[in-house]
Amino acid sequence: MSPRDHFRRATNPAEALAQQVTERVVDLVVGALDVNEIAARVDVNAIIDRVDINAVLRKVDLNTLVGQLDLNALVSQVDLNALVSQVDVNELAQRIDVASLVEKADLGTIIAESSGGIVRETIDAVRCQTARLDQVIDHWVDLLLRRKRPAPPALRTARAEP
Amino acid sequence: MTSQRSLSYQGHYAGAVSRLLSFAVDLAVSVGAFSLGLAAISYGAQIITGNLVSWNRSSGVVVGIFAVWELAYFGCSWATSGRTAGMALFGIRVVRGDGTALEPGRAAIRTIAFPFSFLFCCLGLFGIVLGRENRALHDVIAGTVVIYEWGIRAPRARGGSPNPPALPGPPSTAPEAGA
Repeated sequence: MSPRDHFRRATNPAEALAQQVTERVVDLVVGALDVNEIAARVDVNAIIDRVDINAVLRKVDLNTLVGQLDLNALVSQVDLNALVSQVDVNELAQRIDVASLVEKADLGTIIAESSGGIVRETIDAVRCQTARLDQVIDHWVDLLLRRKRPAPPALRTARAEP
Repeated sequence: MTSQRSLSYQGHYAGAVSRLLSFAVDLAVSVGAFSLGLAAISYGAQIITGNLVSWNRSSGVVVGIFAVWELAYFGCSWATSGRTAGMALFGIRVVRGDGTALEPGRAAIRTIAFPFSFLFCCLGLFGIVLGRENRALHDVIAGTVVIYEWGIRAPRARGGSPNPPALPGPPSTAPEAGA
């Protein structure tokens, strides 16, 4: 056995004793202290004034923080019905300037254009349908009489022009 | 989509269905206008004379006036714009055989020949179905044809150019290439 081991064997009981004494002393001191009184003496405002919150916030990565948030879970906890029931819709509606909105939208022009467009489209469709029926009849007559139809006058005129 | 299809019909010979339907509309319009005219005359006469004036629809005078009115309705429409109200609805127009615009003289000939197409069980109208250029007897006599031509306007933004694009229809001032 080395002299070092002899020394360790001799000091170990002393260390354990010192540990026990220290724990006992700390317990006694903590028991004797009035933490509330100490906290009351601390000037929290002075401490806060010393802290540079902007510097702290600059160090915070908000994107990472927001990315970790489960927004769906958060929204699911919100009682939307209760929230909406607190909104005064009548007051909100009274604030809207309907006359100004209608004036800006120019509803008259919109209605006139849309209705005119519908009528035009309908007439166009009717014309196309009757023209198609004409073509069907012409086609069958041409088949029966085994002949070719001449070019329409518009195309003939175009060909005759220099 | 409809406009593209419409463009393909422009300038082609109008067939039996379009012409029959447009004639039906014209008949309804002209008879309606004639009846309104008779009613207005009766009302005016009643106010002036104080007596009830009624028309015997089968009398020769009324039939004669009706015939003249019908000829005037069709003749004036063809002479002024080449189309009647019914033809305008179905997008067809009377033009000369070469596709150029109809002049009043030819419109008058067509109007005079028009009733003859209805003789002998409408024999003169058979050409609309059987003819290569869908011409009725009055078309052959006047040297006219009926084509599809309705004013297709390209969609434009608000405040855009009011001028419609050129159509493949017959030009109104082109030189005559033969009827």
